[in-house]
Amino acid sequence: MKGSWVGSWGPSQHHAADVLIVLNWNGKSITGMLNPGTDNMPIKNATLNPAGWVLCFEADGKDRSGSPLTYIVEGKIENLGLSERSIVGTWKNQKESGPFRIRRQ
Amino acid sequence: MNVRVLVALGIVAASLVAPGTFAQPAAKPPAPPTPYWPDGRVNLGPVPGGKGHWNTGPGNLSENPVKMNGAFLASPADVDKVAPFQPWARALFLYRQETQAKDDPHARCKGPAGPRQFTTPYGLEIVDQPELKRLLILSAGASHAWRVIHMDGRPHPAGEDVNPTYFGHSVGHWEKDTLVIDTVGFNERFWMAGRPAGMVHTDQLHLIERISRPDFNALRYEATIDDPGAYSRPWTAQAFNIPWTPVESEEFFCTDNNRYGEHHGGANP
Repeated sequence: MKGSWVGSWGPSQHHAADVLIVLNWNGKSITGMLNPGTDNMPIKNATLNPAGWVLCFEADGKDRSGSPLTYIVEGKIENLGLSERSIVGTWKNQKESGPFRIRRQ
Repeated sequence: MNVRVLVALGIVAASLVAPGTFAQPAAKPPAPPTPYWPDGRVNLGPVPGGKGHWNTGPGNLSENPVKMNGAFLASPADVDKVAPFQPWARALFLYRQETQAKDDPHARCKGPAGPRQFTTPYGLEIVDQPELKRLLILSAGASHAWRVIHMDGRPHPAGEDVNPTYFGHSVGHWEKDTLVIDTVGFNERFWMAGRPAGMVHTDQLHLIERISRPDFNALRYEATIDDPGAYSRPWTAQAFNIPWTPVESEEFFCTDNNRYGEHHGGANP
């Protein structure tokens, strides 16, 4: 899991925003940051289930009006055998949802 | 000469030969002793004026004996004999085994790093450079790469100074006749063993290798794996010997006409 992952998420594949996620693994838990920078969001409650290779995590953010939002991301690892593997799945918050795809750099 | 005479001559001839002569093959001569440098250190390479290299041995990176079918476990049920995997690492190792190592970075000419350097086809040479206080381990096979072992007592880099690489940062010292190499700073872009294929590690890997030469013809290799990212505890693989081959190592470049991807369902390098 450890490393920088880049990709996109949005309401559709044609209207997606770039996303950068830095993930870390200390041997016990997965930690990380969504879009490191001024709008960064620490991820929380991250789990990886080796049966099916499903990664789930949450991140707390805000919408444009400043109201709190909780993002929930769930994706399956693809190309598991490769270092440059992908996570493909969905994201949702209280208002929106859409596809999610990132690839390890 | 009739048949009776021939039989009699045969009996006489057989009686002149010591019992068991035909049953026992000639005894293999003992290996020459371990060579040393004038200062008392073990010589891990050819003697001056000689030639040779360490060829691929039957090494298997496994904590316990396990029945193998080439690079793969004869029975996946033996997975827990190999190493104390964390659940995710166990699942990934089994996936790599089940898929016949089709994604092996080594087959795409990535560096033969970690213990894999000691089982890679075409072998290796160990070059001692005491005047520079370092050893070089030259891999003839794979990507024709080399590794530096610092013998000057320097520490490993720490914090932001760590630059994860295939071979990592190695420091070594002698414990009597055993070379002990301590390595950290690995990246995660390689699989650390050719057998079993698909051994998992993380960039938290701390590798301790103990290398000795019990006689002229054998290099003994033992690896201790301390990787809290992938294993539940440190573990030591069963030691194995690598045979001395008294010829020059061959020139080999993995990238020449590599067709691994075509054969295993992936990209060629």
